[in-house]
Amino acid sequence: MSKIFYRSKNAAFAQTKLGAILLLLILLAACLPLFTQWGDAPFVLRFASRVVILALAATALNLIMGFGGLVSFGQALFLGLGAYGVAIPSHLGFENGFLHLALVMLASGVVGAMTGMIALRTSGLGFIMISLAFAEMFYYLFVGMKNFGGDDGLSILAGSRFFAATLANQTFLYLMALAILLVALLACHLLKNARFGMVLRGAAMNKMRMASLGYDVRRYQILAYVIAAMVTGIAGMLYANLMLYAAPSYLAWPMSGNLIMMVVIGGLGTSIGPLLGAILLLLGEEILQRTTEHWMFWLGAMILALALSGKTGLIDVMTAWRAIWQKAPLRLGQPGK
Amino acid sequence: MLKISHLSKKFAGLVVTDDLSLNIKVGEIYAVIGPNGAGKTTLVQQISGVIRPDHGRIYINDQDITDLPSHRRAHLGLARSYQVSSLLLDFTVMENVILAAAAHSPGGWRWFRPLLSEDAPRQAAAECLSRLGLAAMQDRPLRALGHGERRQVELAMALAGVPRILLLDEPAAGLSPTETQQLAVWLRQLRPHYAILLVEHDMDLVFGVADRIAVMVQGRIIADDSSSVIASNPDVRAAYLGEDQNIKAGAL
Ligand SMILES: Nc1ncnc2c1ncn2[C@@H]1O[C@H](COP(=O)(O)OP(=O)(O)OP(=O)(O)O)[C@@H](O)[C@H]1O
Ligand SMILES: [Mg+2]
Repeated sequence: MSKIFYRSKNAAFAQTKLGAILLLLILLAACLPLFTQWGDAPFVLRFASRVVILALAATALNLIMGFGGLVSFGQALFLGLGAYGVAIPSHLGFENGFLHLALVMLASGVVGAMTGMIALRTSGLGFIMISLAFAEMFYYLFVGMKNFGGDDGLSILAGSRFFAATLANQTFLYLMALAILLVALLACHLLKNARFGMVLRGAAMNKMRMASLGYDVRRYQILAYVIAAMVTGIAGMLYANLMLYAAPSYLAWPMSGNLIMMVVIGGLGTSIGPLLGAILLLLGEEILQRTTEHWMFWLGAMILALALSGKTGLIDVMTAWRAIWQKAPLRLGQPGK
Repeated sequence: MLKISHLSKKFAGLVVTDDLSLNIKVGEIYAVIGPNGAGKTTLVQQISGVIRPDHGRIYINDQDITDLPSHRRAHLGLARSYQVSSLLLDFTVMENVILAAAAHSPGGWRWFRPLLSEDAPRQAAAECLSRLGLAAMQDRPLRALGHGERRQVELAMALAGVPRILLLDEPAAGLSPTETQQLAVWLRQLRPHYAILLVEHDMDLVFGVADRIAVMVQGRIIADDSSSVIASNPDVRAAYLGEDQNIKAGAL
């Protein structure tokens, strides 16, 4: 009895500690614009925005890939739709951010539902190929739209305007993106163990069994796919405001591949993984890019090392380290044999 | 409760279900026996909706379910276990069983509340686990369980949704004699509340619990009668039970 009590008290303490650390990190992240202003380092804020926005897209992908076990190789499609959902109306003179948002949600929702319903008829490799094919189709669609920049992409003169504020303002953009990311991460975290998340994860393990239990698995998967599409669309909208530019390359497969890498590096199926993956991948890219010409090679080597370590992601590696670290003093304290 | 009429299925020319008809009522254990490859599992797959038959119809309570997908059939009261354990390996025993229960409890789309804290499914799952005496292992991950324990979870999952029809595909496969005896006790307890289709190779178990027995050979039912009649049927003896004298001695 006392042992159980002791352990649960310990667990509660660990949870409060974790909560405090998280709160501190969030506060620090929210204060970043102040620091960069003091330090006169606007590029750091831009970089942080890029991390946050792509982490949002990766979090969305995590819903279908990490929980649902469906590797979408075309997630960039929705990032592109989100970006063009800002670029096209603002090119035509519409700067209203709510209009942009409505357009982005509608486009990514409808395209998500249509492509999802078709792609989810298959699974495994079939799903990967079809999701990729749809993204490529839309890539060529935007390349072909000569009045909207075609191959060269489309510059955005003014960002999405929400009342007096515009997302072209770097601080506003960063704070918005951070807030949305935090909400998305929290939602994912709760979703994971709620009915919806459990059914998705169950279907990833054993689709047939879930069907025979009475779950309409495809309905859950399509819903997850559409939610992921819309959230990625929002990420795209933010991304366009960061770059003040939208281009077909946003939809291309290297972008989708990057998102997959973020999810995998961070730790498949964990809720915080995509953020860690985005930080690691983009930071690694940034640092290696500055120090060596062959940064792609070293990045690849790092990812390979992670894959070969037999761990399923950064989270897993960290848990392993923690376990070793926690055991170490214990071992030292024991009498030698 | 469960009615099958003139069901036929061919796999690339090989007849695996041959003009098969049967009828199972609640309170009845209907066993299907037959040699390997007779088409028993294929029959279960067709009833549960994994495989489409070429001809014939399947009814639950006079409702034609032949064209319904698996999950709709489950909601009409059909549950099954698998010959080769088919479980959610990364979940715990409780999570497996609670998912089975939740499929039939209202509150379809709860977004943020942990499933484990939803009252109705949690209670149903806990009840089901304690009824089978598995409450002690509810927090163990499925991966950590042995074969026999997995078979028990398999049964718990079939029962958790409170079905009316149970399709049990070789539930005793790989069980120890003690575990098989336990299974026989459970089956007798379950009998009054369900229509049970029992596919099984363990003849002691079959003759011990079944009310009716159908003998299937190459997709065809060559005999279908009460267990005592089947046990003394000379054709059946010749075709299938021939050599195994112990079984009949033990069963009769
Ligand atoms: N998907 C399939 N495609 C082609 N042939 C199949 C398929 N599934 C089963 N078969 C064949 O159909 C026949 C019946 O198989 P089934 O699994 O139904 O037999 P069974 O009676 O359950 O046998 P066992 O006692 O070994 O479990 C076998 O010859 C098998 O090889
Ligand atoms: Mg079989």
